[in-house]
Amino acid sequence: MAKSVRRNKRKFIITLLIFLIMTSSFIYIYFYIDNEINVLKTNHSYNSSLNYESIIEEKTEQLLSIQEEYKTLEKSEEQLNQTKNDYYKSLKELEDKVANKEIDLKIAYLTFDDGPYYNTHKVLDILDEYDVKATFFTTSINGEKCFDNGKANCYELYNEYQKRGHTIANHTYTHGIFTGLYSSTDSFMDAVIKQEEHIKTQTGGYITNIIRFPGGSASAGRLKSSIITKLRERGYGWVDWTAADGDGGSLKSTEQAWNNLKSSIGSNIEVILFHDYNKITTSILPDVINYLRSKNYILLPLFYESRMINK
Amino acid sequence: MRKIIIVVLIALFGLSCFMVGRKIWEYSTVKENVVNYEKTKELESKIEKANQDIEEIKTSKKDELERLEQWQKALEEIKENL
Repeated sequence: MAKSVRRNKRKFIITLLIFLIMTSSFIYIYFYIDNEINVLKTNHSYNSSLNYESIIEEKTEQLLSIQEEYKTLEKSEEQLNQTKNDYYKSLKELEDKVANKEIDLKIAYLTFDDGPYYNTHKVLDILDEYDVKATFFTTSINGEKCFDNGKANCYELYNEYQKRGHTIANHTYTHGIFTGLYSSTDSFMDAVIKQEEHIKTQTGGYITNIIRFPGGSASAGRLKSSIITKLRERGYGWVDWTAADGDGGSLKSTEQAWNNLKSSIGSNIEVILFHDYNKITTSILPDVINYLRSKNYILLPLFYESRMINK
Repeated sequence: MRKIIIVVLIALFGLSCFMVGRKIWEYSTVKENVVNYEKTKELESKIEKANQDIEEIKTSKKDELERLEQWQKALEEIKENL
């Protein structure tokens, strides 16, 4: 009997101990989790009254729309090239119609040789004012400092040509008509490639494929055909001019410039030669633009596919 | 007496079970909130970065975008003449 009572007592004590151990374990777990919750709350200062799921949804949508905008911006270069191609295609179509006299319009390509000069700023401003796009046959003979203003940097103008939508063309790096440019095909091509690289560097990648021989293609003399072959191999087309005000020579007055210009203009499509350093040309440029427009000319920048570009 | 002690112990055990269960539930709620909060923060920083990228690309491509606009205008003008 006493044995049975002792066994029961032992059982009771064991049960009691088990319950106590389990209860204290749970109490320990309780405080452990509570501590973990406090740690989480301290480390992350979130607002428990906010509905984060809807915020996440809203922010995800916002992010997607920003990413979409970024992609569109990223493709702007592609879009720009596409627009340029469309533009030149339309120009070609227009030029063909003008050449075939299918429409009552004429085309004049204003071209400026030997720049950039400090005076080019004025020329560019006038062209902007009259909403005209032209072609600049550039050379680097004068170096970085402007020939007509030693304090100004003329290389910056390459970006201006591009920014304002003009065609940048090659007029060789040296323009050295009297310093060996036409001594051999190689020396000519070296000057072409050097200027091509120079334009690319100054504009951040502009690739030109139009060239004008310094002094005109006749200056190349017996080398002309071999130079043209080399130019063709490099993807270049070349152009002389069909009209000019004579500002590359000894032009003395605006009257003389006007006479030269008016007497040389008449065809449906004209490539007009100017020099962007010439002050007489700059002074008559607004009137020249108005005059050409009054004669039904539209003024365009040269492009490789043009029939005026020899290939 | 023993019975009373056992009942008290069972009650205490039950109560502790309930309290622990409640804490576990609270922990999972807090954890979910923290995960969502972290995700929100991550999205916010991504948005900020994306906005910065947009600004950068707009600045770096300013000239290009202006040119694009100019060319589009020129194209329209030519098309009008055709």
